[in-house]
Amino acid sequence: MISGFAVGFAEVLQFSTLVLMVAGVIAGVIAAAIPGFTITMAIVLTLPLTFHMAPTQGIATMLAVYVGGLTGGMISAALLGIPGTPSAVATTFDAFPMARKGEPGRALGLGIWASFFGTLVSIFILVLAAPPLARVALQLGPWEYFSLIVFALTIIAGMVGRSMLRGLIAGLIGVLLATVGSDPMMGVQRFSFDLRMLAAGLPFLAVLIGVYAVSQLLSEVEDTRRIRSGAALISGRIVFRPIACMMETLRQPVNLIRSSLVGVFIGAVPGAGGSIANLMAYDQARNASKTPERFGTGISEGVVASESGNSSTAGGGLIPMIALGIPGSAVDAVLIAALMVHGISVGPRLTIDNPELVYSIFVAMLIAAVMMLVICLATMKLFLKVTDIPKNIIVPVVLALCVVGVFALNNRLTDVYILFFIGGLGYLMKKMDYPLAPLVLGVILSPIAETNLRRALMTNDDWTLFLTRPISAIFLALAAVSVVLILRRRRLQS
Amino acid sequence: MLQVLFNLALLVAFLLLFRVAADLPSSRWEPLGAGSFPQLVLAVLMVLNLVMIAINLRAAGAELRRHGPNMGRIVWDSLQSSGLVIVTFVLFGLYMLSIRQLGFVAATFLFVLVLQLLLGRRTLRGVALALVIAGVTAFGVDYIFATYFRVFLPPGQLWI
Repeated sequence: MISGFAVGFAEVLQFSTLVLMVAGVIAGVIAAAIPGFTITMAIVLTLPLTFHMAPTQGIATMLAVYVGGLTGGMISAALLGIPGTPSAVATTFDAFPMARKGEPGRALGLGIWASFFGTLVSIFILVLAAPPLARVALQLGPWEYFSLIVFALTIIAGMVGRSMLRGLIAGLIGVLLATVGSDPMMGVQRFSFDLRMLAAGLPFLAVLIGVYAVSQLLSEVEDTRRIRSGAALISGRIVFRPIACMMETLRQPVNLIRSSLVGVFIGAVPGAGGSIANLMAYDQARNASKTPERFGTGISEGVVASESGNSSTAGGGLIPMIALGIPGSAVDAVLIAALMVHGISVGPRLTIDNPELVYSIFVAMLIAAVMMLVICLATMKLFLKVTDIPKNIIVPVVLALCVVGVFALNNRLTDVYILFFIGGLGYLMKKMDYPLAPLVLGVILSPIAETNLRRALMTNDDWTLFLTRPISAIFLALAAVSVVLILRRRRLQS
Repeated sequence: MLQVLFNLALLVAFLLLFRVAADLPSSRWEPLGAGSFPQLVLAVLMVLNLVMIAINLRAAGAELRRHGPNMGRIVWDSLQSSGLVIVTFVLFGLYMLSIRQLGFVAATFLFVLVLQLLLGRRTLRGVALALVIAGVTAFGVDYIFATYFRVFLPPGQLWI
């Protein structure tokens, strides 16, 4: 292993590779900070640029974009309350209130350090446990997937806020929104009413940006007097203390490691990814906390859980890719495509035929994480200037960026119209005191739940298989325990 | 009161969608058809909405008795206080609709400029700054996306 790492370091520590990786990290951070511009889009745009590079150099550059992107989504989530990427949704729960309380520097600092440590934990597990973890992830059939999603859906019960009923309604509205368009199994059109704009379904990013960004920006203009006086997003002096933030992050080792492990596991499950990992890590941190009622008010535990949870999916996603040739996420699929362009087939033989490449991937991840840390800490003061910009400037500019982000997704103007309606719905629900996070979670989980439920019953219409298959039964038991714990906690609080 | 009206509107919408889902074709190949999953979700949503209405109905009744004759005025006042939100949202809608005709650059320039002037102070310096920001947003974003990301934003049918 040591000689493998030595080869990996020799491959990656080339001047030209390091320069490309720095550019990749910066591009990833900036791209992910723009609402609607996903990490996958940034990686896809990077792919053609890597064709003329050596395989190690190309993969290292793409991994740098990936690691940078996982952190960049946190910037707009913390400063504007708008998740830059789907994997930063839970970051808005505590980082945004923290920033609004006059501590945007602390919110970003905690997020950066948590992302860094989360990535380190995931690399450690990737190196040690790739083959056995990948084998577990491969055991998941449709029954297990469905049960995993049922477990994930119990998170809704934990993020409902004051009213369980409102949270459940919001979550199910999300589930319903995801059923618009083609039915995932037979291709039957549902709720599209012969409208072309609905035929392809509601793009998840249009829903995410509409629900979070548009409704948040509309809320910003509610106070006519303040906005006309040129008020900035956050008033008061902004302080940024990176070392204090590092110490604060390290003072939560259990939270940090638990959230990272959740991220690694979810990342290793094909099709799940950072958008679910950050919510699950946040929920587990709240369930384990002695003061769960403080979550959502701007506490450091929430920021650390969410950011370490989503960043550790990077290493987790590479586990099935390296061990079995199965992509853990869309980004990993693009990485596989990049390797195939260079004539390298990904699969169980990758570690045998190209060990130097595998070790180079481990090393590139590590170096990208360090680069991300240095670059983010060095440039964060620049990002913090966003909070000084008056609302009357930031609202129109960010609304225009939302439109660009949604359009760029599929080059379709109709997606932009969907953004308008979803934005209106999001604002209305916010005014009516409905929590928005369950809605987003519902949209993420609905297609996976429906597809796997129907696939399982197509294979065998015996419903008891959900309870008799061991891994499926474990997930369902975990779901039941989770609901009982949440109900008990709510009763104790009331 | 508004809560009850909101849940009633949702209930009616869910009922109509349930009927649409019931008409979706079933499949010979699987026990659950295309409509089963949405029907299940809609049924639960309708039940939850009914519970919500039942909970809020008493409070709405008390509110109606307390403010009875002044209800119209209360609604008008709340609409007035949300005036800027409504205007911003309408402008946002007009901006989206105008992109196809005017193109991204022109539509964005106008939207960012008008909304800045509407929300901010209309001094000479404020107008100049708004013009610069609108220009940089419209032209800058279009240039960056076209040059570096190879994403070509709509050019506008009026100019072709």
